[in-house]
Amino acid sequence: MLLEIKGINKTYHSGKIDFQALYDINLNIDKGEFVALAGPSGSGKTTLLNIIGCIDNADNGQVVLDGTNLIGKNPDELAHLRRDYFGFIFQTYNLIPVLTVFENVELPLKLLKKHKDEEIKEIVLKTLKRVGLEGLENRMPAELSGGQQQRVSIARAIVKRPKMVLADEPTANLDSKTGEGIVDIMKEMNSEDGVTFVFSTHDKLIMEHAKRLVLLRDGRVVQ
Amino acid sequence: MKYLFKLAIANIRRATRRTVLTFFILGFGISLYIFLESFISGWENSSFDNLINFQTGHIKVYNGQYDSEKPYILSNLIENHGKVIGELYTKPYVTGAAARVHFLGELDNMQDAVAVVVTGIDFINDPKVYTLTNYLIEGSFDPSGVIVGKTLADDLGLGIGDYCFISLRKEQGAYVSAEKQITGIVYTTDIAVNGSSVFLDIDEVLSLYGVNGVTEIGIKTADIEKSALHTAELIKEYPGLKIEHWKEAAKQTIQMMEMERKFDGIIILFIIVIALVGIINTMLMSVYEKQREIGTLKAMGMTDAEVMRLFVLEGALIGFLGGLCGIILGIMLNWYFAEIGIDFTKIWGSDMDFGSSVPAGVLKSSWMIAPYISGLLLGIISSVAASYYPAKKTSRMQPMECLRVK
Repeated sequence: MLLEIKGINKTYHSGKIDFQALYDINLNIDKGEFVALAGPSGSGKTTLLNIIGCIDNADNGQVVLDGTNLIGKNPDELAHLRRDYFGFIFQTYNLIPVLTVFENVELPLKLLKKHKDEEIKEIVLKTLKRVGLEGLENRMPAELSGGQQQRVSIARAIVKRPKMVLADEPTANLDSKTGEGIVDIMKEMNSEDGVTFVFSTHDKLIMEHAKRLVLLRDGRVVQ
Repeated sequence: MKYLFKLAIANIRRATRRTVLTFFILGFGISLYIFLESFISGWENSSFDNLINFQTGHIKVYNGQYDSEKPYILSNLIENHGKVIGELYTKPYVTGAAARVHFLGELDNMQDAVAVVVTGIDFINDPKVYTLTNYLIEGSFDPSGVIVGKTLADDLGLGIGDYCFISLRKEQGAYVSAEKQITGIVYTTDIAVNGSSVFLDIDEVLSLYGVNGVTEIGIKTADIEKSALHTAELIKEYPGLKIEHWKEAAKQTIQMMEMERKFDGIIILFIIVIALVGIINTMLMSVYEKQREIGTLKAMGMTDAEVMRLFVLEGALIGFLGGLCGIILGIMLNWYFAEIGIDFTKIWGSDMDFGSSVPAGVLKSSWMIAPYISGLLLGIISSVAASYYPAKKTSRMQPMECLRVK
């Protein structure tokens, strides 16, 4: 078992208003799974994804990653877990605009501090080739289309060979054809490299590609 | 660290206009600091040169009972000055020794009389210690006549060849007077010399007064750096005489310069505060604009300490580049004042007296490496300090808080 979630709740506080985003969520994810978190807007998909990825905290319950309970970990420990375990793909790509495609993709490896510069160069070029961005290494993000930017984002997420890639609505800002292409790349990574993918979506066409569907509604897992 | 450096540089290049403005504000502050330090130093050097060249030499010898509060009285003179000067010339480090006598008197053009300091000088030895002859603008250095400062000569309408009366008042109250021809006019960098000094042959002054002693003996040494050491040697050798290093006489000037530096310190502090506000503003804007990126970097595993380092590094780079900008502006600003200088007499007039510490004529700033180095360090340290708070605040934010920013 790669990830085990037991009875987590999450409430957001905004002034005097409390909003409970998740109710008693229980979920297990195995290595190599290709899981879609589906549901309408406000159902809690992104919140659950953020808690899995250690970028947000659950109020209670347990989140056990590879045998380690994440609840109660300090910010530095969580940063190291994110560095070692996760790759992130964001709906709005979140590329660093002042860095080139190459520099964006090499960032996770630089943060990992495990590779020499020559190795990093080789890995990055290989990864960019894999997502179909060969020859665009020196472009700036602003010079790319939305689909190309999301490919850079995927390359950045998988370049360090993480145990799990978390994708928040990865196709929401793309047309259906480009979106399909992005999902195809994710599926290829999953089947060929065994990378675990957990992604949120409310697009039925994308949901069809998932090997497993977790349906959320009003902060609860309904299916 | 290399990738943090790369990121910091990329961040600085992002908002070019704002960054250039910050460099300019910081650079402007640092250049003013460099200029003020160089100008005060130039002023200080000129004041010290004035003291040494016109008043003290490197070492000054007085009678043991000499009172600096009453420099013009007839008692407390060095009676055996000839013997002392002879002995001084046997010292290998002494390149010149000259006696001078100072009395208060009046210079009369037969219409008006002006209070002056009459200085009796040894026309042979005086140039070996003082530089009065270098500033002779008219006439000659002739012991038969009188040499006057230009401002004084202009005030009384006197020129070369004109006759004047020099009157001295003895301690008993009786006046002695001599009619003398103006043989030389000097225009020095010392306002006091230009405006209120009359130079006569020392023997004539002594005979007018009927005294044998001199007020002081000025000594020039081969190496000014060793003059303090030689002063100590002479004090031991002549216990009955009062022997002072030139810095003793420069005490007032040094105090004035210290006050000047304190005043400049306030200006510098003011400049730094303005620069800091600019940097804090830049850093806050920079942090605010980059919150989503920081969230992304944190999601990728960047720790709080690394985020902190990134922003502090950015601040240090802004400080370094702003400091370089300040050095370039400082060199440009100082070049004008070091090469061309500023003529205070043209601004305030030649008779404006600020005391002996303010040189007359063109005042030039000096070239010193220290303010350039400290200016650069000041830029880096103040920028790092200014970036610390925004960096700390941002580094502590949860990744989710950063990513939520639209």
